[in-house]
Amino acid sequence: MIFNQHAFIFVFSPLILAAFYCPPLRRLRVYTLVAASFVFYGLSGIEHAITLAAGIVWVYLVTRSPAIIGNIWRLVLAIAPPFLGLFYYKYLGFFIEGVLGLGTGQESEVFDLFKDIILPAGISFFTFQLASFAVDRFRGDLPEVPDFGRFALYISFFPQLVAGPILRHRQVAGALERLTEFNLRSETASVAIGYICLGLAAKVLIADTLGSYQSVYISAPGSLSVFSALYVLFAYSFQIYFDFYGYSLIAIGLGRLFGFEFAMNFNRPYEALNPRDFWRRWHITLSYWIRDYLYLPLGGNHNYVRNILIVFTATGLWHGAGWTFVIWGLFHGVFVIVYHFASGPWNILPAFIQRALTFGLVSLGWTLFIFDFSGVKAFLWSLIGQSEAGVANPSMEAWLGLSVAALVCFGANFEKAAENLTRHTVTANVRTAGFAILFVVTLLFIDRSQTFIYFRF
Amino acid sequence: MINPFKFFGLTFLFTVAMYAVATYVPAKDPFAVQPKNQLVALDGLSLPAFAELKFRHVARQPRYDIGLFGNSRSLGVGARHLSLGECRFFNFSVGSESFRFTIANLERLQEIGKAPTLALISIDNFELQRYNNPISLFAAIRWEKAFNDIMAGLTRGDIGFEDVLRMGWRHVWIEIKRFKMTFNPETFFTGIVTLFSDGNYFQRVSPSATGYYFDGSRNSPELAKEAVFNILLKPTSQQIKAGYFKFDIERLARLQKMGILAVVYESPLEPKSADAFLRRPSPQAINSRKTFKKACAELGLKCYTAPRRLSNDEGFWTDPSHPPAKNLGVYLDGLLDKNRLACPR
Repeated sequence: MIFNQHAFIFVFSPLILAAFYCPPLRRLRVYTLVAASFVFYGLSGIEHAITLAAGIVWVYLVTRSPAIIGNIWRLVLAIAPPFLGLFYYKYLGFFIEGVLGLGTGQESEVFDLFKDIILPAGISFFTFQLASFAVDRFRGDLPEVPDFGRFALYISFFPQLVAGPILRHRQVAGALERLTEFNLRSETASVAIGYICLGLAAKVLIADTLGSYQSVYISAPGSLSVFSALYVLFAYSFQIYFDFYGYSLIAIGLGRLFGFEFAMNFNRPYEALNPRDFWRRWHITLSYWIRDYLYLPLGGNHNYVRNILIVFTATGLWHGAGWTFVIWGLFHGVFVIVYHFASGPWNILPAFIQRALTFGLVSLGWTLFIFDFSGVKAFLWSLIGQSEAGVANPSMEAWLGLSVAALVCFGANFEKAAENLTRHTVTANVRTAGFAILFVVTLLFIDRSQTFIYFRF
Repeated sequence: MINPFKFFGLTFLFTVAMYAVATYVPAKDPFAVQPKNQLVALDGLSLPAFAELKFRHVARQPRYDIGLFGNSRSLGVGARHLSLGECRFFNFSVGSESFRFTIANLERLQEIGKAPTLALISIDNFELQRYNNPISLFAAIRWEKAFNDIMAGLTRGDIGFEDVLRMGWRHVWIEIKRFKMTFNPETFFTGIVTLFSDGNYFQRVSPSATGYYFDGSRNSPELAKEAVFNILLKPTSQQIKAGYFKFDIERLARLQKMGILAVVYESPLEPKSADAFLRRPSPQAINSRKTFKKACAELGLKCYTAPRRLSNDEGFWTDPSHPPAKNLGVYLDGLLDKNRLACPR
């Protein structure tokens, strides 16, 4: 199930909210949400729900004993099965074909079985949460183990299950403990509604609209005029941003309805002044996870270049099993390193040039998300005017869509809009009506909406 | 601050308004005006609005002699394809609907005395097993039909309880689909334009364009240019339940007793698919066809199973289940010949 579906909005959410706030069921809230989360996830495949459940049970059993503190073998025992699951579902096909070079020749039939493996949505997200819990237990950062229900809810909670934000247990431990006492105040409901409306609108009205304009160009990367190529370059940048940002906002809003305050995943990333700044603003919870569980254990700033390259290769691989993702990670890693050594001259540039350069580089990097290598090459030729344009240039409507996306990206502050708790009667009424209109307009277009891009990660 | 109660109240109101706009039926009758060589474009109109426009048109007219009922498979056949003589003809077909809508529509027309003297009724080929509940009717009528279906299921010996549950769920499903239809940008914007253009929205288009003739039939010139479709149909899972199917045929027989001559024909398939099914019909199609023939014979209805081929098979099949209007017209002309009417043909 996905957030941008009638079934989720009109059936699933009201039912779960009703069950959650039903007074006789107050003591069962943890289990209500766990059950709801498994229904939410299980609708896309029972096998995947079983994988999730097995991961939860295993990590809980292995990590609940204090014996894990400082015991590296117990830690390996805890996290190996979830990571093996991740490897099986996400990387095995790539490993066989892309790394070992098998499965393409005469022996291909032997590997056909692995080609049909369907990736469980959000497996990278929940595997990382399981791992962070196990590592925190190993380090002794989590002396208290939650009961099983709360642990299961921490991992499987449906608003953030398939595309984050990636939560640390300590960030939600308080909310999990207070779940049965939680009462929804009108201020919290207001903020939640604001986030959900804005998130849905960002996804359905902006990201999916831009996606529909680009599809014709993405299918013919070698037949684009410079204008069309530029259009794709920037339209995809805004599309992936509003797609993922929209999801995160909805997740935050839904979390608030149940008493959880999720960490922000974005902080105006396209206003970043340099590549390092970008990674402090884009998918923040992943950046911090990588920093805390990979970069710092590797030695952090000691041996900076090596560690940055490892970290960004891992970030690339986290996003997808393929060489394009590896190169995408390295692309960012190289720019972070270049910035590290050239920060002096870079920082004296006017801020808008720094922003434009960073935005341009990030946008160029996204092409590795859209195309395979031959597609990227063909696209880059188009971008520098070396291709014969076979597809008509984007329409005025398409450019208008891109302009609106840019205006919203750089001009609007969604968090401020959602968190605004002004009680002035007229202002509050206008805001309420405005959000209701935005919600209904979003619903009007929701049938055309696509799956979230980050679901496949 | 967003007031949650006001937010949900307003959302409800806006949704109701959107529903009203999306299903708005213009007062003007697009099928009434008769300038020659012109069609009327009804693009973007919602299915319920389209069905209602046809109903209202018929309600204002003297009773038609011949009516063609069905869905997109019969929508293209017009007076131009038939030898009608003095007979007045109207195509009552509504795309996406099925046999159950046809019967409900006929019952509704009968109530106002406007059902045609002869009703040519298309039923989807039994290999397709399409047996949807009506979606285009008003809520009150849909719910009345749903109630009748459930009651029939509970009182008749030939409908099992499992089928009653299934039928109940199908009615719920139709309500969900109907609700989802509210959120369609095309129908909403068409509704807005129609609402503010005082019913003068319908554009006239030339016969070379896609549009509707004034006899209710559709002209789709771009479809006719398509090459012959080369895909073989596969049998679909069973939807037609014998007990309910018989119940529907009985409803049709009741209408016939009220003075409507009902001629039911099974919609033909593209020859390659038809031949394949002829060699190996699916069990569900065999069962449905058996019920169809038996019930029709018992109740005195004229029912025809799908012909193996339509005349002039070289016609353009845009897909294997939508017969070319011209060729289907020749076949229907033959059925009209077999079932003579009072009006001189």
